[in-house]
Amino acid sequence: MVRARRARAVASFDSTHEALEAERCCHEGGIEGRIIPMPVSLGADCGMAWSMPPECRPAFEAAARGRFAYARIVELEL
Amino acid sequence: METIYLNCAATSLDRPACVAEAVMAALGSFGSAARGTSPTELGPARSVTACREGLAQLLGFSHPERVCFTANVTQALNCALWGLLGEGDHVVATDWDHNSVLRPLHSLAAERGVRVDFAPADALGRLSLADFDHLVTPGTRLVVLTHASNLTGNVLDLAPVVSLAHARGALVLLDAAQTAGCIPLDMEALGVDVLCFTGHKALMGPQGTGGLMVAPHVEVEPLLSGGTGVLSFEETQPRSYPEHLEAGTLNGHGLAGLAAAVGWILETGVDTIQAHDQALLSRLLGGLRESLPEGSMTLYGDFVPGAPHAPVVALNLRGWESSSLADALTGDYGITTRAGAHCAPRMHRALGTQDAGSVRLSFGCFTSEEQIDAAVVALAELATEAL
Repeated sequence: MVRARRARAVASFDSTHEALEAERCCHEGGIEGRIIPMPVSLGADCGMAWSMPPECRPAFEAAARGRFAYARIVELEL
Repeated sequence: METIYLNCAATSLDRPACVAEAVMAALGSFGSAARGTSPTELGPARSVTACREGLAQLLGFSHPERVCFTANVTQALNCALWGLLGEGDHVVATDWDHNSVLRPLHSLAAERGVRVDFAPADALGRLSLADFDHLVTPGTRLVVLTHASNLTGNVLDLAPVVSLAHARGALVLLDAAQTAGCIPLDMEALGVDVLCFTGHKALMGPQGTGGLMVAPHVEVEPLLSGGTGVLSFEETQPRSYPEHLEAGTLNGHGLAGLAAAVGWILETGVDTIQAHDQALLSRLLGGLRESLPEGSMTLYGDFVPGAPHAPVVALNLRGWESSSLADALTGDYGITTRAGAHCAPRMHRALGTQDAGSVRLSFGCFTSEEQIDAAVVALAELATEAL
């Protein structure tokens, strides 16, 4: 079976604490998405990332202000 | 014979039921926090985060991401001391300090040439602001303060000492092992730069839990380096907190219990716990003074009515060696206390008990009036027996 890929905006973090804070803020703000393993294309790491539909990116960036810090956001086909 | 546990300054025995329930639930469901993104890993990661947040709320700290977990307060203090003090630095500590402060300082003196001065305690175990004023100089890097002596239970009035230290440019490291959870403490209001705590005493969590809170303007070099679950290709420990000071798998099961305990304390209120402890302290002191033959008991410490005091009483009875007295309390009355030197050599020397030691009775929020009364009866009988 070939899994269908779809466009995602993926945020990376330097700290697990920030990733979990992002998850909480997104849930509180109704921002769709979930925690995923850090995609290799963002860096071969064992950390967490936040994956969301690309259209959620502005809401995510707005939610982050003053609440949590992310390293960067990259749009990927996952 | 009922066991009466009066050794809470060493570790708690009775805990809120939610603590064991949380640990058991964690044992059956937790993978490794921050080592994956499936429910078995995200569950403990969220639990650990909740523990950081609860502790930050309880101890007056607005940066839960800078609550870093260790195995106990000794490891936290080692982390802070080795991470803050460099070659030739000057540090002021006190006679109240536990060996978890003293031994790292002795090692730092030997290995890095750290210069250590100690603020002395008087015969009642009190520290003097005048001594800090004399010892803390503009070149002092760090002042280490023990919030409450684990031997006398005396509580330090932190604000003037912190203020003096900051005025001279020194950082303040607080050992809150005996007070976190039973005496109100607001790290940021006091201006404390690094606070070290243990999870298993008045916080009533499991053993194997502790940590340090590091104010944002303070840089602590890591004591350990290793796996963090993030930034794996960096050759040094990440600069981001809490990973900066947390290498290796955390005690997720223990921290689940600690989170539950802290939640219970927040719900109960530290003020309520302190009032309970103070009432028992008054009851114990009043009972001892009333029931024991005059001149048969020596109490150590400064007991000022209305002043904060940790739930700790150290004493000796005439005609008894401290170790024999503790043994008789256990064997004849089922009362657990702690005899000996209590890892507090400087405090014992200040009190003149370096050869005799003392018996320490310490209690907590699950200790009852009846248990305190039973201890008074036992000590009165033993004091009379030796006359």
